[in-house]
Amino acid sequence: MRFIRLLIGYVKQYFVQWLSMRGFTLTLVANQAITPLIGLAVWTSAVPGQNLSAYYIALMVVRLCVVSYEHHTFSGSIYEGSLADNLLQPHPVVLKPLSENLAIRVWHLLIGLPLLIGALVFTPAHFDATNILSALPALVLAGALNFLFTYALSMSAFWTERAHGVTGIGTTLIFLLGGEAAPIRFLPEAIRPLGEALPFRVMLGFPAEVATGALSSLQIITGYAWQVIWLCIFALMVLRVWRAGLRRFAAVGG
Amino acid sequence: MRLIRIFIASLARSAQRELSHSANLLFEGLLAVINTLAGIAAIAVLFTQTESLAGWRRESVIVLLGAFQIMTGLMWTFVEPNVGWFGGKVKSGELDDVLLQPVPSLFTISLGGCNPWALLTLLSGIVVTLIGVAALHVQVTAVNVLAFVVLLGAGAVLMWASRVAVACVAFWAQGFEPDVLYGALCSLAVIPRVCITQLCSACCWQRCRSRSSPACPRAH
Repeated sequence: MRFIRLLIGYVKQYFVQWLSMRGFTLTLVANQAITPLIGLAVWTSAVPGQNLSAYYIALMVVRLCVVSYEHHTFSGSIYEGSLADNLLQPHPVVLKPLSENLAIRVWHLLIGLPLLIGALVFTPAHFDATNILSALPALVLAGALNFLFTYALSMSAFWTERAHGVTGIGTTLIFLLGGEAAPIRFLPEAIRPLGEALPFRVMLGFPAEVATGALSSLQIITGYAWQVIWLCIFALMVLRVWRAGLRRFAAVGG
Repeated sequence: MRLIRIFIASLARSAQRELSHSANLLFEGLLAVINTLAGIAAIAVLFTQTESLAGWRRESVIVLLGAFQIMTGLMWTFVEPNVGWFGGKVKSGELDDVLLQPVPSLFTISLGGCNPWALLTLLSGIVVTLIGVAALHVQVTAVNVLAFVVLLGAGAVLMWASRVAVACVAFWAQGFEPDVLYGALCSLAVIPRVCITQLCSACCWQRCRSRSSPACPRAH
């Protein structure tokens, strides 16, 4: 309960803090929105008969809701040494990065809202309320997965100066196998089961697929099962990397 | 001539500084290879569904990807390390130092240093272009190569000029850092332009169809 109260408090604090960077946040939102638009342009040309606008609009919303910049925020605190302050505070260290992450997501969603409305007006995308409701838990789990994944990769800052690059590799894999470069159903049959089992699809493409009603009930249940499995794996990974990284951390001065 | 000498000297100094962290070479090389493979894999998946993309064959799109990587490599080697986060430099007064130096300030702020690691992206772009051209099975003449190089050069100058112009917005709006936005807009260059036209017309057509609008040009 105390954790939740502190979380809400920090989210409010970071929300106000990011208000001062609203111009920059606007550019971040544009950056997040542009890749699905590229996907939409390319795939509309490649397979003109299929209406992919709903999928790519849903993907854009998912991207805005699950953004994680820990390789900038948390890695930065390791490089600057300000993590030392955080270690001394009487709450889990993850609380601050998590709060900042949530505040940034709220900002992304708020700024991205006009973009979403515009996309809905200018494209023939159509969504069913039942599908959207079915996709909400998947979206929450995808958000948690993205946070844990980026948080774990950002901890590479304990070992290397190139934490940004390490996270870049993860981002590339999400782009390729997460349903962004190509919707998973367009992957060649030989690698499609792999694409469905790896964590990248359930981190991004799966909620969009559920929201567009492209999946059967069995596929939805399987997708949720993969999300829970990968959530447990990522949580364990974060714990192990954190313990190993903390042993290497040192900061001097003030 | 003097500017060229200064440019080479500043490049050498930046290269010396960066190359002292030689372990990073392996890492940046790996990153460039992964990004290149990801780009090629995305194209491969795309062309399992279609024979051509808005009239572009797979090999042509690979050449386009290569050209995009060459331009990105040039940008990230020579321009971005200098004009990146320019608003912060204006705000912190770091720009004052540049203005006091006996060299044109535009030159110093836009080409004063470099990031040699980004040359790996440029190299991978050249390799991808060569692979694409080889797969095209066209006869490459000296005129073709010269035209490609001249167009790349013209593109590089345009990119430098537009990037510097965008960075200069910071003189009036210091809170607005356009770096991310510029990078995002540049990424649009990786798709054939015709795709965007087709997307617009497809959206118009499908929307008209869904509303059974008599105004739809394709409805008749």
